[in-house]
Amino acid sequence: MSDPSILVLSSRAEGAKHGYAMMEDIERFAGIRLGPGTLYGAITRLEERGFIRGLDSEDRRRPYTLTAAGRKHLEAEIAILGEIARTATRRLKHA
Amino acid sequence: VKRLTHFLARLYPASWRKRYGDEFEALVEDAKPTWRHAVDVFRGAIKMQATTWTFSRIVLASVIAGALLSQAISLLLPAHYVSQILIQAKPGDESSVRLLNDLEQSVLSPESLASIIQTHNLYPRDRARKTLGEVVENMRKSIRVNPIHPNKEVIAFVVGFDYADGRVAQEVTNEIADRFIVGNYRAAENRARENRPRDSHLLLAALDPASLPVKPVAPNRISIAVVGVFAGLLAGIALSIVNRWRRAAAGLRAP
Repeated sequence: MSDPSILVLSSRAEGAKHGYAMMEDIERFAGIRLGPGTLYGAITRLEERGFIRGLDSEDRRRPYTLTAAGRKHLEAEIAILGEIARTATRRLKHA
Repeated sequence: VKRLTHFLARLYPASWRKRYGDEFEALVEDAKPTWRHAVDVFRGAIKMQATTWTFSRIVLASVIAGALLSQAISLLLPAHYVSQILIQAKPGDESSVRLLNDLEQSVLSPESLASIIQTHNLYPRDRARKTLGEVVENMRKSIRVNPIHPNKEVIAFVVGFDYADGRVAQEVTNEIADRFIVGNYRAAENRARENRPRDSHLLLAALDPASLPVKPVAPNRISIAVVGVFAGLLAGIALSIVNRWRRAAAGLRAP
């Protein structure tokens, strides 16, 4: 699970976060430290596709939140990943 | 590293910086940039530039890149100069044609060309890597003997030699012409000693000294630039199509 977009969506599923908070959160739950370029590449794509939305902020650190479409997309992706994980586990048991 | 990362952040497209620039700068400051971050920001900027460029911008950039690349390649290609000399032979009958053919074979024989190569120290690089026979064969390909307007009175032909140095090309062309003329005298002397018929007498003269080429005949930079621009145009169109296709596959708008 190293696709930056899925990691970013997963991090936002917990609530609105700005870039640095997200970088720390992803490192905590996935063990991957995304670089600024990779993180904002994913943020740009996700916002363009309507999966996340930027909130107003008083300082430069703009938080982003998951949209309904983003939640649906994340659920679909997680379902696929879950199926892959279950299949791999089952096959490893019979190997 | 911090200053470099901030500088690299400026490589993102202007439209992107207008929307994300402030928060991106804040993230770079908070994350305490490392070399890995700097590389990541640079890669991100290049990717963002590639995805936000419009069709016309990609094609224009590719055309310019093609033109510049083709000119760089043409500068790396060795220049070639051709020196020429006009030689006249009389009379213009069949007997003269036969004698000229014999002379040409003699002047362009491997022994004769090997002697010219050594006298003028031609093809020093090739001689270090190849056999003398191979170098002679290459030299033969660089010599042209072309008859022009033959008639019963006179046969005129042009001897040309193609080399990387114009002055050397001129010297060698003069030497080849001398070998035609001297070879003709010797052949005439031999025929006289052997009491051969007088109709086999051939008069040979160079009308002018060999030309000193000023401009190279190759590489043709204009032709290479045209090819480069055309290749850049095709590559730009292909890149735009791939870019559009990739963005459509990712569910993103066309730039």
